Amino acid sequence: MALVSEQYSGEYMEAANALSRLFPGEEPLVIAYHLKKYFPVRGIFRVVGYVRAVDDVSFMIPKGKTLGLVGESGSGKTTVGRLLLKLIEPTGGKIYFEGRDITKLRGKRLKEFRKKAQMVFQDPYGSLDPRQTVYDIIMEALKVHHMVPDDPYSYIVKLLEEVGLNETHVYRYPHEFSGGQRQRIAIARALAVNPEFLVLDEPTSALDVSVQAQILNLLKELQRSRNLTYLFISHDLGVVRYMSDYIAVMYVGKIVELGPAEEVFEKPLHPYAQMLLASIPIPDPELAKRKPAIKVIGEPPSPINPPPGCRFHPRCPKAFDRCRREEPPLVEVETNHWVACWLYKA
Amino acid sequence: MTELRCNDPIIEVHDLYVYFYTYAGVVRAIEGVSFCIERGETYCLVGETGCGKSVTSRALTKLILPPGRIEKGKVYYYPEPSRRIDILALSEEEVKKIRGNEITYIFQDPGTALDPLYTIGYQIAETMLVHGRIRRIKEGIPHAVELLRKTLIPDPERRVKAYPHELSGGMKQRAVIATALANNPKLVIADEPTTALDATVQAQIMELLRKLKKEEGLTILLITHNMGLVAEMCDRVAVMYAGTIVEEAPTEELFKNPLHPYTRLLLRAVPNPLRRMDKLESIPGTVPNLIYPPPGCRFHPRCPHAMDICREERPPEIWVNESHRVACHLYTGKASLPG
Repeated sequence: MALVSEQYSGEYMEAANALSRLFPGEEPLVIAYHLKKYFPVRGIFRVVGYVRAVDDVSFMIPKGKTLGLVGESGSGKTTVGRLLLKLIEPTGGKIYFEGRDITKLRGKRLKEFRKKAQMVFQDPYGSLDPRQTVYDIIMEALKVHHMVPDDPYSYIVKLLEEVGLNETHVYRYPHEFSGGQRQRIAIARALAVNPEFLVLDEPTSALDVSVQAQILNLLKELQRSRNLTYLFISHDLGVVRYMSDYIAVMYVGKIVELGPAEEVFEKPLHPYAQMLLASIPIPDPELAKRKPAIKVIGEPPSPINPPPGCRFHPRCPKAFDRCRREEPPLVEVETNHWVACWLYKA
Repeated sequence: MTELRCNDPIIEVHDLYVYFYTYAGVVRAIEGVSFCIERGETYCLVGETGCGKSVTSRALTKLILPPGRIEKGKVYYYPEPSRRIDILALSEEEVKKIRGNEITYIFQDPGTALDPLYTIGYQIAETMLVHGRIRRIKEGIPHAVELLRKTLIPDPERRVKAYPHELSGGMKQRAVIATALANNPKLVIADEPTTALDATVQAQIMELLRKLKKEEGLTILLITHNMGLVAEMCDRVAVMYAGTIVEEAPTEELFKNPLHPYTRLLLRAVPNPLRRMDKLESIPGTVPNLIYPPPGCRFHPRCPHAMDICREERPPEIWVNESHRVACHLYTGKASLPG
């Protein structure tokens, strides 16, 4: 494949080749390969166990596209987001950004990477320093990366206008803004250093519906105008469908289904994905009647001692013997549509 | 005053005003809210943060604490069709006999609704003891087991002795629901009962509420911000905005034929997982500050159809048919329906 050129390491080529079948025709910007993150659970004297927050997941994010990561609390979706930005170190596996293994980056190279990959957090109240004006908040990002332009004021005004704010907001403090406006400031700060990749971790779940739509539309516009690549993390399936080109469904540290958004939503294959979709209340009484009646049972297990075999088997209406013993691999069940379930043959 | 249309109301609210006296100023949390709940139905109050839906639900049993105050209005409770109780005229002692007994609440966070120091069984029995249904906690335990069974908690004999921390989020909310049912209430007020829970757990709790409504003949007032829950749970729905009810209709009618500009925009701003959407409608601006609410119609600064009169006069509530009312100047007869 053309996307693997000689300048890259053999390890990268192995990962890229392995994942090149995932979304054919797409050029990867980010690749996660056998990624693992275990958090130790400490007892009084020693580590008594591990939270397997992310347990061997592989995927890629195509350039200029959005990968939506959905799952319930404790599924590991936020941990994946943090790993991709090197905010935490993986326990195992590799992460490649533009072909470079970021787990090994140090010093200048790391700074270079940090400029290209930014994050927008869930809570716009906690993520902005209350004692800084909007100007200071954005200037700080520029200073850290030695990117202060000749005329910072007009640069910041231009940024604010790009996210739907204006010149009158430059010297105001976060408390003077509503939740939606704060999220716009957080987005402006992320964009200040001209990144290529944004991790959006539940960027609208603290906002009201009417404001949520404004922010989602803004993010879509920015993606188009700046050719950004997004990892969009959310538990809201409606929002994820609206935002994403591709979807990964996570369950207790594993990706159980992966494919183009339309495919996954129109024809979910993994029993968990089917159950999740069936449990979302549909804001349309007509459509709601046509929703498949799937009995929803149980709650997600603790990631400290996940069930053996397929982690979903205790809640799965279709579980059989093999599911209790062996962990199913992620295989291509239909064109471009990957599922980790013993019900399907590759 | 707004005319109410219920055949057999269990609750009637007439022109209710609740203000909060804060240092920053007087927050006009709800102004002129009127509605009635039909016996046996699920009625929804839906709206965004700060629209007054929780305040309204709490005012039904005078559960407004200082600096909040119920300014004016009437709340009538009908335990039976022929018996009317004026709740706001009752003393706190008298209201306490109704609250937690005939009218009970289920709140958002089951973690804080339960006392971590007592077992589930004790807490259920305690509600019964307080209202004189039993004389000793011990007597209540068998009832508690029954209630836990009714709320589909597996192995209720064992769980009745469990402490809240030993239960998962979904099980805790089931235990809270069991507590709310302990005294055979007539009306259950569920204030965002699943907002703190995961999607698959939420679906199970909603299924449980539907089942209980059918089996126990409950009336449910559901407070939510989730249009999906409205569509799947409710018989009738009132949409609130900035402290007022802007529209009320049977659920299917509201989704099929929304009339208020706010409702119309809101329905088009919700992403639907079962449908491909190319562009979400967004509502410009933000919810107003209720210390200085806009004059006239409170939605006018964000409304695409705002006229001069909207800036000056509060719109009257107009019944457009038997069961559908809307508070908007577009429907006062002179102007025609847009789009």
